[in-house]
Amino acid sequence: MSKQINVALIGNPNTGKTSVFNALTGLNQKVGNYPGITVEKKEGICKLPRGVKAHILDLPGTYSLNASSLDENVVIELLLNKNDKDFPDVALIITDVENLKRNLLLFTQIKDLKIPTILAINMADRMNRKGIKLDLEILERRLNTKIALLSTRKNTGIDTLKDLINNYKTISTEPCLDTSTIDTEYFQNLKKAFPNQDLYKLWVVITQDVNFGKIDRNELAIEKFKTKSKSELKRLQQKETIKRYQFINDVLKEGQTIDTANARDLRSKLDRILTHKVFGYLIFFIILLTIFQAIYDWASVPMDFIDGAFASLSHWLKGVLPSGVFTDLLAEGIIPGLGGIVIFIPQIAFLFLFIAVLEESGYMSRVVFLMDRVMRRFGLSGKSVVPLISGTACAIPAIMATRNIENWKERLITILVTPFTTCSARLPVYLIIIALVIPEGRFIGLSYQALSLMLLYLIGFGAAIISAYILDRTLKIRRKTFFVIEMPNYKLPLLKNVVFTVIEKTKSFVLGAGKIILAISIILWFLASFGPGDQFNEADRIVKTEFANQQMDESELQQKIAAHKLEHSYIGLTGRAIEPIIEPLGYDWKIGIAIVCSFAAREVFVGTLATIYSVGNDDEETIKSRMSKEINPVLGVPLFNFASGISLLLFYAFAMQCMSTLAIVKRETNSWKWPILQLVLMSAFAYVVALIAYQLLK
Amino acid sequence: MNSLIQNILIFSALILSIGFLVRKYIWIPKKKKANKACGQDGCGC
Repeated sequence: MSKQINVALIGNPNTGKTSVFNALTGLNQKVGNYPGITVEKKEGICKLPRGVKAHILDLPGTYSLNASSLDENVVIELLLNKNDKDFPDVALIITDVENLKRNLLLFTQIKDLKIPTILAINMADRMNRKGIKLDLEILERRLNTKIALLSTRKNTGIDTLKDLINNYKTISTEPCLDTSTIDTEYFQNLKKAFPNQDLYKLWVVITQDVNFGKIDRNELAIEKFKTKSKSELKRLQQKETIKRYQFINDVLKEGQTIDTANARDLRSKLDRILTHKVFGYLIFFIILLTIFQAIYDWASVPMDFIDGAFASLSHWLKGVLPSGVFTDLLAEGIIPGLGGIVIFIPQIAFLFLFIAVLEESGYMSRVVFLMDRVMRRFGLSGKSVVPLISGTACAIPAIMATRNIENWKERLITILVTPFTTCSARLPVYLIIIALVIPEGRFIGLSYQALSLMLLYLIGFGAAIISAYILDRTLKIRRKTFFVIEMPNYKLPLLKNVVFTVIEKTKSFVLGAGKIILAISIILWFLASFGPGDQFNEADRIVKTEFANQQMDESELQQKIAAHKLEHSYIGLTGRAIEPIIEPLGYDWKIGIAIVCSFAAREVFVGTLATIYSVGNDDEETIKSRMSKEINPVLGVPLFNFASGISLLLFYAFAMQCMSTLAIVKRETNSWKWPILQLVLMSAFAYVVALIAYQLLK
Repeated sequence: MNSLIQNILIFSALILSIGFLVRKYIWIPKKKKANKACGQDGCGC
């Protein structure tokens, strides 16, 4: 049986870790989450010479073993826990040839944990341009390790790296720094208290700011060893860092030469333009417009195709399968449910394509830097810009895009406020209601209807910003207020990395949220297709008797029967049951059903109304003309008037009518607390605003 | 007979769907839960 080597891929952010991971594993990779937390876990298999396989675990980017975030904590926990199934046989430290000094800090720390450690120096293709020369022999000797010089862009050095992994047992585990030299007396006491433990590991555990999930500090009895205050420990940590940098400086003095005269640098020129107080924002705005346009326009073609394909599939299934309830479930529940998942793929793929290109090129870091000064006033991060903008297409990928916000409070606020931005699912609802209640006419050349639509977008964005401000002041979550971002070098995005990111994110959506959406679709179909009592079971006879004296063709009669059944189905009864609650907003039970059904997804609203109003298809003009004729049975006025229409628009602008968004929020926050809070607060706010609007305007 | 099989199939789908949602969100196996918060900011992850 061939042996499998556990390899941990570790490195500072922006060192090309993902590129090395992709080069080693190809498509033999899978992405998941670490149990109980929302940090992404990427692992893959790499085939090595002599039939050996390596299990490669791509750990989150970290600057040191002094964890300050969830991502960094994952790295430390794994390296300290020998019982973990992923504990590495060998650690592979990825460094950037241009930032070797800073990257080596992490290398020396990991090597001191006595894990065989390989140093991979990436982006070697830039050495000539930057005037960098390395003496690998000296570096290997001084760092007491094996080095692979890589260029994932030119695809060089990967075979050397594979050989080194295969021969990891020959790598020395001698530490770079004698830990006890940090503070002789303190470490002597520590050694006396824990004679069987490794000093550096103990030191790492003692000095962590974060709690461990798997390692119990009490079990290690470390809590009892409090010979130093927190501030004194911090001082010792700083001393350790200084000692490490002294060592690294000495090593690089011998093994590295940089001829700055040879460096040809465009970076500073580009930075001056892209982070400029005026041009920076202007360029970003143009890029955003392009992305926004592309998500709408480019995605609409495949989306229409997917929509059509699933409709045809449903129709075809109804034709070839024997008629019955299971066929109905397939054709009216499961297939449309699956279509509801698959239809989002183009939008998600395009969004992540753009995000991947912007991130890979190094531009995203400049945007984050640029926007941070604006967003910080509202309790958000510069990185919140991407989710808020992409939320106008769909809140689901937008919430997934919050993963790169390191600060938990800022990330949580962004997750909670993103659903306020006007997503594309609100559009069908807005379009039909605006067409019904907003008069035709123009103001400075712009139609009232277009202005109303634009106003709704602004209301959504405004609600997101204001609620972020309120949440920032009410949420009792501690946060460190500093903002540090590394400005990576500009580079052409690697097509392979971009494609992998798009596939991985899309797969994550389809397999994650997709299963939930599908399950809910089946339950909703049930509630709409079954009902208690004779009114539902005898619908055929009742409708035929009721319309016996009227001239009606068969399809019209079938539509009447379907509408009657829906009214008396479980979901119809729910609509009736909630009628007293929604009546003060100017809605009747039919709108109530549409609201209940559209809890799964907002766009269901129009489709549900179409069925209720006995219109055989979702053609908006047909529904519109039917809806405009509806009369409020209590007031005797048109049901969709200015007051009820505005009330409905505002309700949809603020209400959390999207089950899949809630599922994603649950997944991203790993708790039901936040989606429930989001649902209750947004729905309550939407109700109150809609109520006030109707009562004032009626 | 055909109707009976179809009914069995749809109710199986319903039970599977409810079961899936319950297992995913209400009755979560203990091993999936983290022991403690991941940091000092009380995120509860």
